[in-house]
Amino acid sequence: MKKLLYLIIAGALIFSCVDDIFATNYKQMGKVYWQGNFTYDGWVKAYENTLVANATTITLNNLVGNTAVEYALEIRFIAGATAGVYLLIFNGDTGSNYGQQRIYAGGATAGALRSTRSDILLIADGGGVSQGFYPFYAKSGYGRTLIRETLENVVGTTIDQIYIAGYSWSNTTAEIINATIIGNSDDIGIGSYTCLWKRVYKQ
Amino acid sequence: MKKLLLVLFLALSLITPQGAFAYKDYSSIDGKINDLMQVVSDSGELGAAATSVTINNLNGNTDKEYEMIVRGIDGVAGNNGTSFIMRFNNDSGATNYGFQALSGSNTTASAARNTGIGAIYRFGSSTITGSSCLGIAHIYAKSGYVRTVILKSAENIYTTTVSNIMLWGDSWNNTADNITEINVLALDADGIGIGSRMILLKKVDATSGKRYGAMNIKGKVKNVWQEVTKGTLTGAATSVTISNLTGNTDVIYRLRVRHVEGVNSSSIFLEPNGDTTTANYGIQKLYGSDTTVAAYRSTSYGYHWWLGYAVTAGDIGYYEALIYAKSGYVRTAIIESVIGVATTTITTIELHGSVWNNTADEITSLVINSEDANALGIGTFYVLEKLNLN
Repeated sequence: MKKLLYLIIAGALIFSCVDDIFATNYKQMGKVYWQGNFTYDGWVKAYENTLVANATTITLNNLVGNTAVEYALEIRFIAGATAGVYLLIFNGDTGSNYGQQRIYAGGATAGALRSTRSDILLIADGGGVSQGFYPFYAKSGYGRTLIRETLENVVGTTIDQIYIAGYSWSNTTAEIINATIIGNSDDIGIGSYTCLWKRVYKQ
Repeated sequence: MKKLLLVLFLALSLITPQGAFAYKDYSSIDGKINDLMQVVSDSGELGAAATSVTINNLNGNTDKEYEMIVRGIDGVAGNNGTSFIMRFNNDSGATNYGFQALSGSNTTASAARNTGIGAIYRFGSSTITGSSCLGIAHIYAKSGYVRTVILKSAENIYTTTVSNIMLWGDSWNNTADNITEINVLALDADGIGIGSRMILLKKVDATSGKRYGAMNIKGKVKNVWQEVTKGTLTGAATSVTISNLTGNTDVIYRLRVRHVEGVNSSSIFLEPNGDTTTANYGIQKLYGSDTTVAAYRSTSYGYHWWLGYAVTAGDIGYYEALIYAKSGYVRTAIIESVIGVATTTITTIELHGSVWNNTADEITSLVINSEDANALGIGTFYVLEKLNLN
């Protein structure tokens, strides 16, 4: 009798571990606070931070560009100490290995610019609040590409400029393992928000 | 002793998060899942015209990020036109919002700023009853500073005409109030016509939920963008067909292509159901090439839903298309393209509003096609995602 009881309990425990993979409809989960990893064929938040003190740099470590293939960076920055620019570099590369083609609008003026750079220009900070969205293709083998959509230097109801731009990083071989956001000294102000989304894949 | 061990084992199994020691597999799940971007509200296609649609019970300070997708149909009779705008907490203060716009309309690229207006502008405007618009907005919602929005919209779309393609930067000058509702409004009574649809996604914070360990979802996760299919070409191809789609059920797709040019000088384009009839396609472009910003419109476009092109074999491009796929109205897309990348030189950056003048057929396939044989070179990557609304 005891053996039968143990067998039933063991069977129930094993079934509880595998029953979900036999479900044909959505399993209702309620709130799911996952820890460790969450894998499926979609996007998960890989990094999130709101600054509680001014900063000069924000480094996104532990990237796996060749595995993730795609990332999307979102920022909402508050101008800090010294207005300047917010830049992004991959793997610490500050060589003239980046390119841009951008279009922009400021007031009644629309314009465009193409150039080679030593970084990706995230925001041309002139003070105030700025927001950007930057999806990028990270896998090596070819040059890496990034799209920039930004609104910049908002004070009250005045938006200084908006941009849409394409960027390239000409490195074709190195896996992207980190990305660094760089501002002028202490110019990434308190309240600045950074979020990185990462593509994941089911196991 | 055995009883003690059994009790301990059972107790451990109850208090240990599922999947704590290894991935636990699931088929398909539905819930509020921490650290995902999930649909929090879907109006469905409206069955009656409305002047406003309100999404409430939000908590902007917790959610921080929203993504709003609006497919608007002009419901105002008599071709009087309207605009599809947005407010937070229904704040209609006449000067509490501002925008900076960049637009392409026919062959004119232009810019405009407004520092005192009564709403977030805009998911679309229209002049013709029944015309459509498609817009997507990224919203930073947390209080403490002015709230900001980046918005793209393709406007006043009818048959094969896309009147405007727009990029907007918006602000709401309220720094204090938690955003608890978002209002999509028409500037005119019943302007949000039958068929309009509003979908809001939020970044989910479910840290107070049930704890799980490592989770591996083999099936679907409801209310998220999830891959339908992807591929990387190991041999050059002229076209790639993504089949077995159910556009009427799926409603919205998102396609990204990292194009590696296989031959010299070829255009890459997208064809719903493989339709090659030029007269069924229209486009409004806004683009920048070197120091020139310009615009272009075609109402019978030979490159169909144009993604991009490259001049030299080995050049790359990066294209993203947001597609409203459900039938009933013309099918619309907003496409962003980084075109002709050779090391650090990018030929053009483009923003398109595109239309397929077919209102009836369900989209069952999307063909990534090219102008020349083998233009989709080795290494070309594509991924199609759908928003799991069902």
